[in-house]
Amino acid sequence: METPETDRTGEAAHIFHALLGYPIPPELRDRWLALDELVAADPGGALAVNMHAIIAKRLDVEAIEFWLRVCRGRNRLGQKIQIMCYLAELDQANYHAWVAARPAPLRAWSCMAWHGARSAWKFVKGAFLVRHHCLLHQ
Amino acid sequence: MIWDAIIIGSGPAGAAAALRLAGHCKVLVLDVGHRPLERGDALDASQYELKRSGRADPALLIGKRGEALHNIHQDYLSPKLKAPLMRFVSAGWQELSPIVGEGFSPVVSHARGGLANAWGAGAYRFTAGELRRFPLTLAELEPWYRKVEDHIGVSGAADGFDGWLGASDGLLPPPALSRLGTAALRAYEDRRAAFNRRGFRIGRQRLALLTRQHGDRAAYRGDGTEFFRPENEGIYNPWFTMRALIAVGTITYRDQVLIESYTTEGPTGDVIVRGRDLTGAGAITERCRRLILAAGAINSSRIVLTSHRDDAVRLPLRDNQISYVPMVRLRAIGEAVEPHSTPAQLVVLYEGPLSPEPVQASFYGMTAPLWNDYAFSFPLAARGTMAAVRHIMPAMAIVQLFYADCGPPSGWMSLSPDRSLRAAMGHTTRGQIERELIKAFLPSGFVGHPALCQYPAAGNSFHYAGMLPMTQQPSRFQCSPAGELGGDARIIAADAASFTELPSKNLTLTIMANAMRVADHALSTLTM
Repeated sequence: METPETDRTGEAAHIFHALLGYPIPPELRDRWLALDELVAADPGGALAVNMHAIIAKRLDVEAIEFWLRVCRGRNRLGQKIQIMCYLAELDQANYHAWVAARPAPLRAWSCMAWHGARSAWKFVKGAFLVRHHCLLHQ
Repeated sequence: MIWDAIIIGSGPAGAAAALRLAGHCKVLVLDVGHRPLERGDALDASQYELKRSGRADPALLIGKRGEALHNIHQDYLSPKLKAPLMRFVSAGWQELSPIVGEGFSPVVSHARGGLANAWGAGAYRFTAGELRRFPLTLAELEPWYRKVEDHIGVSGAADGFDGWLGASDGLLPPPALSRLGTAALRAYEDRRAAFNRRGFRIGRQRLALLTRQHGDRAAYRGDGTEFFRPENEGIYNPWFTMRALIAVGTITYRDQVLIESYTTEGPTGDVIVRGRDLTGAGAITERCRRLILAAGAINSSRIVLTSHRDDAVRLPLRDNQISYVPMVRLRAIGEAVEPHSTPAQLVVLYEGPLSPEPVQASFYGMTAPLWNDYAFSFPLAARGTMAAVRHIMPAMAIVQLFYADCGPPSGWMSLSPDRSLRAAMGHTTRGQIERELIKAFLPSGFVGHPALCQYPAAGNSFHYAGMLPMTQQPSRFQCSPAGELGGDARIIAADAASFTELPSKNLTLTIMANAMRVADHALSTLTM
């Protein structure tokens, strides 16, 4: 369950780093905070996740989100990651993370093969993390 | 003051009726007329160029408070209606025109230009076969199709699809195909017999999209910002017609007015139109000789039901149910994006044993929406979805299928005692044609999977019709072939509420042609 004390700044930093691999730029963090109403929304229907534990223990959000998305459907962590992806997509610094400006078929195929294998590993890791750290609210 | 004609609404039907009546009689257009907050002039390049140059203003693309991201928490909302500057199209309709849907998730527009603000620009004529249960012939509509096409500007190619899309001289040149569209068309031409055996034909689009200057409107720039920037001059919007008529003073336009009902004075007297001024000025009353209902099929039907104070009757309701078939061209994986292209590339037509009626589809490239709208559909961890967006999206197409609603209507609509609408829609069986389409494209290197197809709830096509159908012997809630409700020449249904059936193709061009036709008839009865 979300609480007013949920550390939004820490949440943003942790999710962004997991996605892009570098610290969140201050302006993007400010945009995340400006979306607080959306980020904190709990309209029901989506599975609640213990965000506090994930942030405090710096758990692998990518692995947890992927397992939840596959096995449990709509969930709060997935929604947060998706919001961060939208913010990052619009940031000039990440243009090449989303957009292929030049053709690179060989790189694309090898990259997708690697991500297929990596996703399988993340799935297994996510299953372990969710159970080991009791991340789902009962 | 007694107006010769009052038109309710400024969408395709209202604009076309106004175009016919303007200058010939005193015309008042009443409209809620929500307008865009701004024109989005900052979106002056393709979204890729905007992102690359650091000019992708999040306030315009996702909203200051993320209002375009509500799809994350809420039900499906078309990418065309999500963006901050496009939300005016469907703004406030639940408050102004509440509908309780059962298996039906409609979108109603009170915007100037109506739902055509989110139009995919498909401009197709109905065929004689599609009009077979209408009490009018194709020959009666053809002159009006021609007038509308000349007015709005339609681009396309004469490529053997005329029998289906309608023969049309005066087409503007077709827009250039993207690499993906070119590959799909070549795949079809190379394996035409195999596609045809499965029931599919593929051809160039017919679009209300300008490939060169047309009147005072500039050509479409192909920058993929139409999901974010309202009233793009290169794609026809009914408001352009209204705007021009207002400018020359041949119609009077009054917005911020919600029309609720009408009454007629005796068998031959005037029509009294009643509504609310939404600026808080209270009730409004106007008087006219002819009332043209053009508020969109659902809103026009609501006005009729409210006027008759009938909460017992169930009106028929038709809707093009839709599906989406994603496909990836394997050879195109790893290609660079094409910043400039037209989203709607090709028309796909299915005629075969899997559907009693033809099913029309549009083949779209993926350049227009924000790619994260789709990223999490890939069965990969988050960084994998980012890589998939980068490498696979330029190779990805979506085929959107529209199912006809012919024969007995799929749904019904009625007025509740609290004046909200109840609407229910039956289920259209989908999935078989999608599987055949995937199989047809597979040998050409386009790969899809039935599990990835999406089947939005009924109502998401924005194509609604058939509540007040045209017939030769109209009852109280039916129209004559001239659109006269219950045969009363004073009340004319000009929008798709008067359609007898709903074929699978976009109905906007036919709404406009028919609205001009019935407005022409109304004019003749006025001057008699």
